[in-house]
Amino acid sequence: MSGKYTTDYRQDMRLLRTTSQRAIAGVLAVLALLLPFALEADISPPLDFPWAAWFAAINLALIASVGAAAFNLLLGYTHQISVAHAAFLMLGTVVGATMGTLWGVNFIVVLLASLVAGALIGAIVGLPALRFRGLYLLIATFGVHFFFFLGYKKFQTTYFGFNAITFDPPQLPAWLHALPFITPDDDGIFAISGNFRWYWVLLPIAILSILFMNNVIRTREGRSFMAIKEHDVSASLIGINVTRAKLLAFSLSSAFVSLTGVLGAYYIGARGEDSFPFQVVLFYAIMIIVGGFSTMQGAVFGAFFFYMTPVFFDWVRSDVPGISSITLLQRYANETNLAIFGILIIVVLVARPTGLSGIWQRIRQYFATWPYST
Amino acid sequence: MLFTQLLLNGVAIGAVYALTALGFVLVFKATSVLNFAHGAFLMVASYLTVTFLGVYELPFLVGLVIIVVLLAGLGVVLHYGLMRFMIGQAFFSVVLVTVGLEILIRAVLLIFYGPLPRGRVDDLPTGGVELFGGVNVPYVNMIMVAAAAIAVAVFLLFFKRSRVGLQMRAVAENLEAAAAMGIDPNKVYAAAWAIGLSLAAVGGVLYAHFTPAIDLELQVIGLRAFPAAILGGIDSIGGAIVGGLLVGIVESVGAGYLGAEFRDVIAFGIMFLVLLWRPSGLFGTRELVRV
Repeated sequence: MSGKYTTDYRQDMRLLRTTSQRAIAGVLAVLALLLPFALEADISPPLDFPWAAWFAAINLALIASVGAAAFNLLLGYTHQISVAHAAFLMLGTVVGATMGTLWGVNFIVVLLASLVAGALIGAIVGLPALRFRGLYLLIATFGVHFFFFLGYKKFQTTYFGFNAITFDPPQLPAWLHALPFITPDDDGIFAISGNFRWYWVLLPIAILSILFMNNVIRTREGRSFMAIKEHDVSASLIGINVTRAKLLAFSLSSAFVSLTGVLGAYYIGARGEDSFPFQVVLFYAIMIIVGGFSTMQGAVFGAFFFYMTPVFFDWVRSDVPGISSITLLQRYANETNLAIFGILIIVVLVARPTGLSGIWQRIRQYFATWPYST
Repeated sequence: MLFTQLLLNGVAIGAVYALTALGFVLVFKATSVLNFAHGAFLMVASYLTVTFLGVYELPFLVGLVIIVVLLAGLGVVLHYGLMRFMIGQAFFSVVLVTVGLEILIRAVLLIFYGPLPRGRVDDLPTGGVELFGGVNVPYVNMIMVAAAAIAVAVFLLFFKRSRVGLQMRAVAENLEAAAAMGIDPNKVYAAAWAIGLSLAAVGGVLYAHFTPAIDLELQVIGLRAFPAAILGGIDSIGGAIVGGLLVGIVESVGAGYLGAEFRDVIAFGIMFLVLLWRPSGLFGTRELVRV
């Protein structure tokens, strides 16, 4: 549509194919590098705009974008409707708690272990997908959620008591202190705590994970996922090993969801059983559908939408003149946030079933085909 | 005797599950919408029971009729105001609209009723019958089963005998042919929403007399409708009723012996076993695979 055509295979395989894509990527990269410094700076914008509150929301969104992209890999690209998403978040949390908090293993090892555990158990949980389809698979994986939830509760009460599983901030080993920008705290330990330090951990992990998943989609395996999405029986007739592809999709997706679980647990610091109600699955579904189904950018859009809108609502409600004088909104702060969020989801989906990334595509198309845009 | 007691409790709660699953399946069969908000509607009915029967102290039947009419009206409004625009959209977008709806309902209930749980409504006769060997059956349980049976019977009569019921079956069978015969699909969809929500309303009113506390956890009943509906076969009306009863009984007996925290696992576990044996549920249409 942009009038840019490729002439050889290498051009076709580039991640950023057009000048505008490269420009956007460059701008985003600069923004991503400058953002934490801007957020750390003690700025007080007019109308008490919640400058510092954005930082936590952005970090949470970075974590969630990995989980949302993994969910999208399974749901959007392979069309295996699995709602065992929160189950793997719990798995990641349990792996983190066992290895990190109980055994005291290094954070990076814990992250890798959570990937491995997620991949292995994901392949097992994917087994029903070989027999059930569509709705029946959805509900069967619902059962997986409750099974994991029971296990999680048992684990928590056995090792951590009734309140919550707690996580200490991960520490960088001493031999890394020689690196630039790393100045240990007064006690000689460099702990990853606070939004600023976490941002620099989460940003590369999120980018690498999403790039990895994006590249999987572009390979032979990814194309077999999409063949199964269209029709798994036809896919088997053109020589795709459906069993292998389905289990691989489950395994890959679960590995990254489990990673999300570990990251979330360490970032937040405490995870109780009420951190994983079944609605968590629906929240991730909201992220990928409102963001845009079957696109990796949709997962990122969705995650940021999900975590940043409540912060924005909070600010509008308490500090925008005119709105801040409505007592009903002040008295029922959380409730109105919830209600507006529900309405927003409905409005986005009714108006644009392709979600935010659909809107983004339309805007891009408008400028690309200007002045002949419709 | 514990077993008999648990079995009878299971039948009572299973009756509510059956009602819920029936409404859920009806909406799905008619409109292909997987309604995640179904449990939330049941919750609305339970909270309305607190208002009409608990606070205004209306007689049970009057309150029941008012709540059923209110929710049926809500169903019609819902279809014409919202779900009509989602016809033909991707399955998941439609599902997520009902999730948004569920969030909205929860928020509205929180604003009107607050986060504190309300006590059980005791509008129905309390006490119970002592059976052989110390098995106790509260009157409420009997009324629940009877009322659920009546509601299901009325629904089946309507579905099989009335004109609208015939139109619903026709639209579910073949939308284009039905539309060509002069049936307005929108009316049929609205009717399905209205009936589905009225069944949820009956379930909610009954459950408000059964549960120890009415709070936002109540939508768990809606979650139980999933295994019940799937167990019976998602497109089978009779399957929903059998599935609901089965889930209620197995869950009650299992939780009685193993402990209450196993409730969810048991409900979904029994469904899983049935699905392994019959992948389309007990009475569901078998999916034909064609290339």
